Amino acid sequence: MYFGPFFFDTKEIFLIVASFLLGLALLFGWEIWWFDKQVLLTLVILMLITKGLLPAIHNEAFFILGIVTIFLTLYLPVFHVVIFYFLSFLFFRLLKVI
Amino acid sequence: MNKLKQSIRVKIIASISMAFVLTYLISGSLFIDNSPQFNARIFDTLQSSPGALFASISNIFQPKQSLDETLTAEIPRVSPPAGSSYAPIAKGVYASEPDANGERFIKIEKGTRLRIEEITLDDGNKVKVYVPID
Repeated sequence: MYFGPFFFDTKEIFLIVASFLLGLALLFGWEIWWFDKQVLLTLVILMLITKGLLPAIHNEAFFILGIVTIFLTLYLPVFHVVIFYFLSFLFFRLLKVI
Repeated sequence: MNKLKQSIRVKIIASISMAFVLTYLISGSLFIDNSPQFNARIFDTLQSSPGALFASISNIFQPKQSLDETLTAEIPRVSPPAGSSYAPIAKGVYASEPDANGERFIKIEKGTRLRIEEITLDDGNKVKVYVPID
């Protein structure tokens, strides 16, 4: 989908919608069970940035990593989750996944 | 094509697993308190790591004891005379006034971190010096 000169694929649009929803949840105090809204918003923004840097052929790796990262926010501190996220990309690169 | 997809999925899972293990093992010691602040004491820990490894191998049939506990047990202990008063000389370290024999006693609070240095005196004797780490 084109917005002016910029192209967004469906996954990026969903990430943008998710970030808006999280922003609204933070603003209006909506409850999200078990998950921390601020942590999720931080991760969604990180994912949006990294998604923008990855070609679309790596969607599967990105999808699996995204699911695992969001799940880990339930068990690990947010800083460890961020380190895990970046280390995963490093290993993806080392193992020639991306 | 299926084999290629399979191998990529295996690599994805392997990458994620390795990243998780590395995060779990190093994040606690490399960074302070879940923040981006780097832990400067990591070098002390790395320096004592070979010693810890040898200690664990040599004590393989004994109950597990950390290198910290092993080294703490090596600090000489004495019973000071009753009524000794102590003045703080460093964080977690207190010293008494000299007694009738000119002896001073040092009290170290539990949890005080000490750096061990081995110094060779002029007469060739080696002594261990315990320096509190702030």
